[in-house]
Amino acid sequence: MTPRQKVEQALKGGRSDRVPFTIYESKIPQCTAEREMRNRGLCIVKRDVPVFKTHRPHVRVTQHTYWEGERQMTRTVYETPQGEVSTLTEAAGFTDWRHEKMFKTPDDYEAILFLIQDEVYEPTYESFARAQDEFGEDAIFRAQIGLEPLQSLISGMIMGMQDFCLEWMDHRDEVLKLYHALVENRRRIYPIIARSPVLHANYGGNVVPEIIGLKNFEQYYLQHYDEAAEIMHQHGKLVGCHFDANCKLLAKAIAQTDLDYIEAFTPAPDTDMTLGEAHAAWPDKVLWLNFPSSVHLKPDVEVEQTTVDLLNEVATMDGLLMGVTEDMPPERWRDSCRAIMDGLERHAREQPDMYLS
Amino acid sequence: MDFLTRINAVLHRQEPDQVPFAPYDNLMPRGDFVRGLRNRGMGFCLRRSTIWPEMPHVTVETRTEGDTTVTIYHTPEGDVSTRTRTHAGRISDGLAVEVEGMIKGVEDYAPVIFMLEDTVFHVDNSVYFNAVRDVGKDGLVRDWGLDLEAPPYGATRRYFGDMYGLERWIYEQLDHPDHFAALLQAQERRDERRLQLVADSPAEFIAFGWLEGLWSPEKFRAYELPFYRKWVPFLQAQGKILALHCDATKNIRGFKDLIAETGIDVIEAFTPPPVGQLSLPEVRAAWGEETIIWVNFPETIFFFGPEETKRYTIELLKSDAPGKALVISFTEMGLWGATDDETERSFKAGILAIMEAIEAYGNYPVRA
Repeated sequence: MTPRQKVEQALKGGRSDRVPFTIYESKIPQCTAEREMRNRGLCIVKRDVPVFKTHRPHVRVTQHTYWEGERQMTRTVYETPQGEVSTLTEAAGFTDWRHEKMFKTPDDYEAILFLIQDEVYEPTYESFARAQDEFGEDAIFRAQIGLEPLQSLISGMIMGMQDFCLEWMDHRDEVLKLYHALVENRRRIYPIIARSPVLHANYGGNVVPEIIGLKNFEQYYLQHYDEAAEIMHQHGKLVGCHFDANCKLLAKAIAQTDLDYIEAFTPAPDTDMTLGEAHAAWPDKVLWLNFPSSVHLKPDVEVEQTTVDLLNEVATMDGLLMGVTEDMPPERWRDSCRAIMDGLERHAREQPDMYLS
Repeated sequence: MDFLTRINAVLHRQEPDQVPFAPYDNLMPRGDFVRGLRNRGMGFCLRRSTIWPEMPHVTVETRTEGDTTVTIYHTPEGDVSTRTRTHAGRISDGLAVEVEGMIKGVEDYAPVIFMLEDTVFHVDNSVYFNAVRDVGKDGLVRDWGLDLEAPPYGATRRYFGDMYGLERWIYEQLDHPDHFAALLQAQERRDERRLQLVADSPAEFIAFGWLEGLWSPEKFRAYELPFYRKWVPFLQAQGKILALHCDATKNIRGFKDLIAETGIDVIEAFTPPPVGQLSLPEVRAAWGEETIIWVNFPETIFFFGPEETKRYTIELLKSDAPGKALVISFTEMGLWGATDDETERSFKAGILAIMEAIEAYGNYPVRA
């Protein structure tokens, strides 16, 4: 089986000769170590080829780039018939620092609502299919539904987290207007992704229970996972969520969803659940792990042993994938990722009955 | 030898174990096909820049209109703007084409000259060191000597619209020679400020210059050769190995001797027939045994089938025996240029044929 086939097998709840190991493409440059690991079966996760494009036909967008010393700043201005909002970002290597989001005062609600409602989506199936075909069997391509509607107002570009919390208390009706508009947008996206050539899509994530709480998660998140899953499943597609934070508080609620997989789940010591606890909480869900980021800093022998220990926490390798979904120490990842692969291979040698031969 | 050792042997005029196969990294998109080639010894030439420019007194505004990006430069001498079509597909490295340049009329010279004089350069060597660390032995990292690729004379073409501005650039030299001369002098000053920093780059291998063949050998001799004669020895004295991007094809004969006069170490992007005008033996005779010829493999050969591609490659290798100063590469299109199924099939079969030919006949010393 190819790397892609092994990932697909696991995503569908099966297993192969080894737990698949995946890394986001953005986190692994082409190099000797990457080539060697791909030769050993590492599967790249491609998230940068969309299955649809977004247009805002009635919004004029301008960007203004300037320097503050050595810092390159970009202000993006969105002009709508209901007013103007802007964001301020700073280029920082592979990412951006977000200094300002669209929302500054309650006067911005109307313009932001217009922005959201003005979105139009256009499928890009052909370019996606071509890219997937060209890459071949070394990668699994993933689509993105987008952040959950309420999460968009917490970790997206619309509002800062603190503003969201304050506005949730002070102007909840206005926040919910934005939320409902985002819900409608997501509902238009589900069938586009479901009908696309992609096999699986992530629906949001980065949900932090300390911010949102269980009650709000149950009221404002769960139904959307299920709506998306219903449509995706009609077309034989899979949907998951990037739950990379502490999950214990939300575990029962997550279990009740129709999500197929939990992606970026990071076992203890980095979060409040072990892999064994996650497997017990979500027995019918595929677990696509993020190897605990802090452990990359340990010596290789400990990284390998941690990998084996993690796999020993569960009784079956069905529906289990080991991934890297977060940043790794730049001076360590070549060795730590090799050690993870050593651990995955060792477990397969030591526990052959748990795998397909 | 691993790829890095092999390519460095060639660049240092030592004996490699095999003629290197070294495309630009962006022309060989990551995938299982390319991994197979990398496993067989193909490596990458990574083009990175440790120097970035800033115009502290210029405000840059961008605006999108559909798939067109309008960039407006606000200077104390006035505003100029460019229009760039984005989402243009794989017709350029950046998937975009500038369709309107800054200089549209005489009034636009002053703002552009202000921008050139206002440019300050900053150094970030971590770009190089990170790239070297990241790629390991699978690639070679090369820095940019000139951020607009061409020496000052050719660089001025950019302000008239890159690909679409050639005609205007030509007419402006005749219609407004004083303005053009001022622009060229400002460009020279800008480039010379940059080159002082290039001398201190941690990279040994530096891209320096571009010969497109879009203007005459006489213009090259008058406006560009002096620049090479001044800066090539200076940078070589700092231990740099310099590469001239010579993708001129059908008229390269007129530049053959001028290229030799530049003193450049590596002539890259040289494209043999049927695309180019001169054969590898002809340019070898003109440029000497010590000049490293970094061949851009003509992809049109792929459409003749893998057997012919293999035969062609073998003949190419043999024609430059013993192969001590030869690199096979893609510098223009590579697999990046395959945008339909038929082309992709032809290109992949052809690239495999190149690999087979190198493995069979490219070991040093290549036999004629």
